[in-house]
Amino acid sequence: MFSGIPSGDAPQEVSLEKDTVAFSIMLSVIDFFLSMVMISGIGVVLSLLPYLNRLGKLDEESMRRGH
Amino acid sequence: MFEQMLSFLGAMGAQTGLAQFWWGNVVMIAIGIGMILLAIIKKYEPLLLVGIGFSCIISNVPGSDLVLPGGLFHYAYEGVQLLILPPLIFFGVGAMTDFGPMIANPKLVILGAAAHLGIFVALIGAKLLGFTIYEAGAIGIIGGADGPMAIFMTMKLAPHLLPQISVAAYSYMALMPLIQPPVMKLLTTKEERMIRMKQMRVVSRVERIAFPIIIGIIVNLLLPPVAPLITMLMLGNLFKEVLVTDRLAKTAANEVMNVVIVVLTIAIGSTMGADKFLTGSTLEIIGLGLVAFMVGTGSGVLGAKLMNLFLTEKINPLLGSAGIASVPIAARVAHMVALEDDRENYLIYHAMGPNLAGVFGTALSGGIMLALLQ
Repeated sequence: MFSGIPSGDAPQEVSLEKDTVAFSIMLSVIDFFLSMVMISGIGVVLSLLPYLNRLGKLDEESMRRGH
Repeated sequence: MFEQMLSFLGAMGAQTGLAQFWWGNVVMIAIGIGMILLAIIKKYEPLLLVGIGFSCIISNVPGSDLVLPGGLFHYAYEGVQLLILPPLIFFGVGAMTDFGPMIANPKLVILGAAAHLGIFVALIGAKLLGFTIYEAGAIGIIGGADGPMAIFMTMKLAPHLLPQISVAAYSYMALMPLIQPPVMKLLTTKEERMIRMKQMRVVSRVERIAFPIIIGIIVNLLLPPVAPLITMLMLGNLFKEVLVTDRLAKTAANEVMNVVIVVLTIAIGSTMGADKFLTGSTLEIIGLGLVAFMVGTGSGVLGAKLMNLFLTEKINPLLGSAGIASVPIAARVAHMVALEDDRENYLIYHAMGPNLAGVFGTALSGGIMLALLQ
C-alpha cells in the first residue's frame, strides 16, 4: 500500500497508491469512523441548543407581522 | 434525371439523423419512454422521470444538436458541470424542511451515519469490479440515497458516470418502499417493531433559527468540499425559520426548486447517449446501487439495535432505516412498516430525525471522501 522510497538527503516521502482495493478499504474505514465522530459532534451541538432558550423567547406573532 | 434526383435525395438523407440511427438509439428511446410511463402510471418520481425521460429520448435522436456545444441541453448540463444546480436544489429543500425532529432528539442523529455503511460496501465492491477509486467513490455515494449529493460527488470524481449514477440513485429512491421493508423485517422482531416512541419536546424558534447558522459555520469550517450543498440547505432553512422572509422561503421552495428541477432533469437526460449508457458498467453500477441501498438500510436498523443495548428507554429499530436519507421517503417507509404491526404506532415524526441526519451523514461521508481522494 505504501510505496515510498527514501532517496539521499531528501526528506523521507511516503506516497500512497490510491487506486487499489486496499486503499478503498482503508478509505472506507476512515470515512465511516470520521462520519460517526462528526455526526456525533453535531448531535452534541444539537443537545446544547436548548440552553439558548435561556437567552429569551421570540414573539412569533410579531415576527410574522414584521414584513 | 431520375438518377440525379436519387443522388440528390441520398445526399439530403445523409445530412439528416436517419443515416446515424442505430439500435442503441432505439433502446435508449424505449428507456426514455419507459421512464415517462413509470412516472405516469406508477407515479415513481414524476417530477424527475418525465424530464429525464423526454431529454433522454431527444438526446438519442441522431441529428439533434440540442446536446452539442451551443445547444440548449448542453447549457443545462453546464449548470450541473459547474456544480450550480445541486446546491440550488438543496436551497429549495432547506426552505421546505422542518428540522425540528432532528433538533428535538439529538441522540438519533448517529443513525444518520450508521445507515451509510452501504456507501462503503458499494465503494469496495466497485473497486473489486475494476472501477477506478474515483469512479468507485462516486458509485458508493448512491448508497447515501441523496440525489443532489450523488450528482455533486459524481461531477467532482467521475463526471462521465453522471447518467448511470443519477438514474440509479433516483430510481432506487423511488423504489425504496419495495427495497427497504424486507430488510427491515428480516433484522427485527415483531416486538421490536412495536416499540412506541415517547412524544418529543417542542423546539423553540430561537433553536430553529440558531440551527442553520451554527451548522453553516461548522460545515464550512470542517468540510469545505461539500460546504456549497449544506450551506445552501441551511440558507433555505433560515429563510423558512426566521418568519420574516416567508416570501423568499416560498420562492426557494417552489419557483426556484421547480426551475432547477426542469434544468436538472434536462441535463441528466441529455447525458444518456446510447454510446455512453449502453455499457456493461451501467449494469454493474445499477447492481452496486441496489446493494448499497440494502446494506445501508440493514446497517441503520442494526445501528439502532446496538444503541438499544445502552439505552434505558429503547428506540424503535425501524428508525435506523430512515437514516439512509432520501427525505422523506425513508421516514415514510419506517412509519408504514411500524403500522403493519401496530395500527397506532405513528413513527413518522420520530423517523424524520434520523432521516434528516442522513442528509448530513451523506454530506459528511462525501466531504471526507473528497478530502481523502483529492
